[in-house]
Amino acid sequence: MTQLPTWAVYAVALGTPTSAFVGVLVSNVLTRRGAKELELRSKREEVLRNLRWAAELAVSDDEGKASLGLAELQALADSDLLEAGQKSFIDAALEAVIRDPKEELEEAGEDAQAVQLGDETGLNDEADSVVSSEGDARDEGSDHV
Amino acid sequence: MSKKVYVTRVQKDAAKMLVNRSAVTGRFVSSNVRKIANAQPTGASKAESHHRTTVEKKK
Repeated sequence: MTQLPTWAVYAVALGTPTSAFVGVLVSNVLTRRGAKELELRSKREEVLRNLRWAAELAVSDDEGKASLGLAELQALADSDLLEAGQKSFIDAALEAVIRDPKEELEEAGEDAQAVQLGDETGLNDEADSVVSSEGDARDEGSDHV
Repeated sequence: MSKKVYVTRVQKDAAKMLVNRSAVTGRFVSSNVRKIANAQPTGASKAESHHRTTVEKKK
């Protein structure tokens, strides 16, 4: 019958489950890291899709859609999901929105001035009323936000 | 008399965003973009504009 030294018996008895545990732990950590990278990549893809959608909306002739596009662009600019280099796409979209009046101002010279057209959709009026009602609610001590 | 270039609210808002972002990114913004960002509404007279500014200051 083969006999093992005492230290070897302890090493086998304790080392086998310990190394198995460590192996499983490392495997889980690596799997989790891979899952996180995959999730981050999915988020970035979704954000870039949103960026493209927002840019298309922002240059729309429909003022409501264009406002939504601008709001989306603002939200994307504020988010941490886009890197600094990718945020330059937001600037490009904004430049596209103001390209026509900018060119007109350049052609008209230094004296030209920009004037905002009246809001035909009445969105400004709605916005004003929302702001005033919020202010009233605050004054009255209401919990509504 | 200086020529007037009419801009929509969306274009004004976009120009404002560009100006605000330039403060963060340090990107150059031309004077024409600033003009668009500061475009006054057609309906607002000087008196109205002054009144609004005064009210905002009081708040």
